[in-house]
Formats: sequence, C-alpha cells, structure tokens
Amino acid sequence: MMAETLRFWIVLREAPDVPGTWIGHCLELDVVSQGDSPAHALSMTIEAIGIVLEGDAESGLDPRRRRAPEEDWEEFGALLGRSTPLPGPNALRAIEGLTDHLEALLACVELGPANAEVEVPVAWAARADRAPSLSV
Amino acid sequence: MPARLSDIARACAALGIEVEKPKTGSHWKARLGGTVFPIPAGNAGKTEIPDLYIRKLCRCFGIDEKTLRSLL
Repeated sequence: MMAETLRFWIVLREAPDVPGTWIGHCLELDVVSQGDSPAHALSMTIEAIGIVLEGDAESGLDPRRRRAPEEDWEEFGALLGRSTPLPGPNALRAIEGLTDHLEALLACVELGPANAEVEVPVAWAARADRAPSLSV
Repeated sequence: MPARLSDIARACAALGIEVEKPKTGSHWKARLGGTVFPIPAGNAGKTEIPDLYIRKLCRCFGIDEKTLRSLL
C-alpha cells in the first residue's frame, strides 16, 4: 500500500458507443472505468486506481510504467485549456442535469495512504459544438 | 464496437489472462504476469464495455486489439 499522497487526473466523458454510460480515464495509470453518471464514473475510476496500485504494490511493479500515451496527455492539455473551474468539490453532482452540454469533465484526485480520497473535481469543459451558458 | 463483460472475460481467458470476479467492490480483475487491470462490472457479466476500455485493456497487456476482438 502506498505511503504517500499521489495525484491523478481523470477525464470523464460520455461513451459514444454505449449511451448513458460515462467513462473515467486516469491518465497517470492509463486505467479506465465507467458508471451511469459522471459522479458514478469518477467513484468507479477511483476504485479502479486503488486496485491497480494495490496489485502493483503486491507484485513489486512501478505504477509509473502505466502512464497513458502522449497523445492522451496532449488531448487532455487541450481540454484543460478550454475548461472552466468548478466551484467546489460537490459540483459534479450539481451539474449532473447539465451533462448534455458537456464535452468532458476533468477531475483531479489526490489519494493518500490506504487510498483515502483527499480531493475531487477541478474543472469542466463545454462542448465545442454548443454554446451553453452554464452557471453552477 | 462495445462488448459484454462476460465475452471480454472469455476472450481474455483464451489469451491466458486470468480474470477474477470481485470479492468486494465493483470491478473484476484481469491479471497477467503480476499486472492487474480492473474491469468495471456494474451490471455483472451483462455490463456493456465501451471501445475505449477495450483499447486500454489491450494496451495494458500488449495484446493486438484485432486478436482480442476475434475472440469476442
């Protein structure tokens, strides 16, 4: 089990091929999970991160080897550049009714020892093909 | 094209990847050579798994995606 606090970026998007399903992609570990809402996908992805870290620790493997390919990081950088910060850690649930207007949600999660969650989402990004005026 | 979790588990097994159902939590575990890749299982074996997930699973284990898909 890890002894330090680690930070992970998670990109949440609606799956184009499975309607109603949101996918969470953790870039540092290139691990993916899913849920029926952004908040559910985020909690599932955090659970998946815990499984990966625990498995790697048991096997003596370095989780940094899993890092997502550069093109994923470049896409993430572009998303982040057109994102607007969420007002607080509960905002993911608050905007669930507005997800039709979103291209992606970006969450930054810090996990401490024993996978204790420290921090949740920091930003959302509007869909490029719509002009929403969201206030959350 | 998405696939059912039960089909992915069967394809993984055919490729020598061990798939473990969870004792707790909402993920099955695919395991090969010490590397674990969680499989989301919100609806057990009937869970529809999107393309992005399948690509990442293949990347994690160094499997050719066409090979995996041919086993689905």
